[in-house]
Amino acid sequence: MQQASEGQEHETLAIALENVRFRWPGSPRDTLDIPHFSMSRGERVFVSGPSGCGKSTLLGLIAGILSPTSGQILVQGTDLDELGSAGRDRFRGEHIGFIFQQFNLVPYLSVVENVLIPCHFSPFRRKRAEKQGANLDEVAAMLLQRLDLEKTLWSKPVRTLSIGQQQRVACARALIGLPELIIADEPTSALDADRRVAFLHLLLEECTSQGTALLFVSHDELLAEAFPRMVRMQDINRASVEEG
Amino acid sequence: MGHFTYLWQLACKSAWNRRGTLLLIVLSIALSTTLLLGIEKLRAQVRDNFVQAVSGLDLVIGARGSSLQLVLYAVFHLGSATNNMGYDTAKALAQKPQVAFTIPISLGDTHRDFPVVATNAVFYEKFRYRHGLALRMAEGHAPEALFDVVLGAEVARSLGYQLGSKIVLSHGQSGNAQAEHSANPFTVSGLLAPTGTPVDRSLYISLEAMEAIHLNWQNGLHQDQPLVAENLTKLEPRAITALLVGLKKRSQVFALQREINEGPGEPLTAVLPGVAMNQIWEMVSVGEQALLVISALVTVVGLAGLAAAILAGLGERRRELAVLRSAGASPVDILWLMAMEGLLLVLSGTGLGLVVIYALLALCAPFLAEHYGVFLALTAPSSGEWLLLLAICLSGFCASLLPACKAYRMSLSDGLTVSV
Ligand SMILES: Nc1ncnc2c1ncn2[C@@H]1O[C@H](COP(=O)(O)OP(=O)(O)O)[C@@H](O)[C@H]1O
Ligand SMILES: [Mg+2]
Repeated sequence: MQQASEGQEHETLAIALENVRFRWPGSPRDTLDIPHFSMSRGERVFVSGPSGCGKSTLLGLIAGILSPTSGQILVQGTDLDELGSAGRDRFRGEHIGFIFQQFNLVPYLSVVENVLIPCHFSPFRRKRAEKQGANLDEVAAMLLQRLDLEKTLWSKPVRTLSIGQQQRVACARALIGLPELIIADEPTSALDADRRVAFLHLLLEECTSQGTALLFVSHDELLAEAFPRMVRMQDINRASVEEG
Repeated sequence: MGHFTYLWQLACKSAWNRRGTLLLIVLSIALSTTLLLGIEKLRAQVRDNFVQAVSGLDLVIGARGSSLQLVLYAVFHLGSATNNMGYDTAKALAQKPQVAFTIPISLGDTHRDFPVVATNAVFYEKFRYRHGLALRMAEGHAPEALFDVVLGAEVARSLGYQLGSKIVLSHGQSGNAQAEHSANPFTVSGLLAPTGTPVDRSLYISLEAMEAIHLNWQNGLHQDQPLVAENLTKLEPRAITALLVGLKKRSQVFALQREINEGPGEPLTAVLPGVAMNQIWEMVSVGEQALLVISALVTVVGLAGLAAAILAGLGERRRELAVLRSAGASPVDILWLMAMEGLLLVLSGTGLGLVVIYALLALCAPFLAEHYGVFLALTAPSSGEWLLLLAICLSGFCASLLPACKAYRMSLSDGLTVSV
């Protein structure tokens, strides 16, 4: 995969933001003011910044769950603004996988059922997943195995899994059906320090082997060294909230 | 697997996951359903019991007067006495070619506040109630001796009479000692099985016996005396209170009614008992409406509880819904998920209510029939009851749309990250 550069066509980028401003309703000023940010396809980027600087807000914009006050956001060459809200929902389901800090799993579904959720909401992801193996259950099993989750855990209620195990199930869910982009919002923050690096390597390994772009957000800059590229929020965001 | 099948599965699993709290909602809906359906069933049965106090009778004929008053007095033995009609007239009516049978009745005496009805053998044979049921003797037989009396089930039960008991009738409504026919006591010859009609609360004697105990009254003596043999020939009554008439063909009823009401001779009133009893029921059944309103209110409270409980549970489900959103569910999917949960709760609630009401009916029906003559039929829900059930389900579904819309808006505004 090529390195992205300023003049490149947006079609070859996983994410492109141009002059994006965002203000939460009721807030006196912008949370985000990003003149330019981009990420090429298959790239793995670490975004760092202190708590409250707007990292999660940025991810919400890229996911199309929030709409920018002004500016343009393209994901996989598609202008989110042109999709409409239903279109953005579908687009997100088809092309983006998510991992959050905690509570990623639906408590009343089994491990395998949790992994398969995206395939039920997006026929597109489902078709892709079916090509990964003989059937959906097998694909989920394969992913779980690659993420070091023993078979004995699969049938257990997800509540009884450790946080590290839960995060790996969330990884498998984000990866299933080969989405082009995975968004990870502080996925390691709830893990013990010694488990963080191991988890990170598993995630990076899978993204690399699937050719999936990874946008990884954390306040913990120690993790950055595993990434080819690191971006500081204060470098891309002009609406810095120093006082906060 | 279809999209909706998947959503339905999610809704079921999610609900099962929170079954502890949701059980209470299901129970309250079940209770509402049981109450509403129970009252509706009871209302229908009580109405049926009332309106079907007589059946198979085409006309009630009495002296000219108010038709409702005539039916109230002749069928329910309630209200004041109407004028009498001549027994000759009654015998003439019985000879008409359209007439299949006639049951003469004569009222006026009581025993411990229960009405005494004088009639003849046709009554035991031809009287019908509740869609054609015949009277049945639980013990004994119809009057054979002059001073034999047959008791309705309620009379025998509440006064503790048995076959062979001796009883004394009172003249008129009051039970004062001077007006007692104590010189001519009656012997209980038969006990009728319960019917759930006014028959249960009545005593039956023969027309001749009625005549016999009143001989001295008619002579102006107003005093009771034992019957003497010479009087026995005079025992055919001169007048009766009413004549119950069954026709050979029901289609002739209106023609005969008009003929009697407008014909020459003794001024009479002929009433179609079914019509009159429906009218009476409309008058006495105001309470029934109130009951239905109360149970409807209970249902509304139950459904409000449903909406409130789902709303209260939204907080803890916020994250779960956000996770589904991040895994590709649209806000409309979330709306569906919540609405399906509401539907699930309402369906299981009404289903449970239906089971409970039929279990109760099955348990109580034999007891009520045996002791009170109230017959609760274990029939499938009537179309009115299905409508009630449908109304409960629909309004429950609508009630659950309120939290569903809240969840929809929440999942729009929350974004992907839900702060704890
Ligand atoms: N749902 C929301 N409504 C209003 N303001 C919000 C909301 N979420 C976050 N914010 C505000 O936006 C700013 C950035 O928050 P966030 O993006 O969560 O930061 P980070 O993820 O970097 O910790 C904070 O000042 C926060 O108060
Ligand atoms: Mg955050």
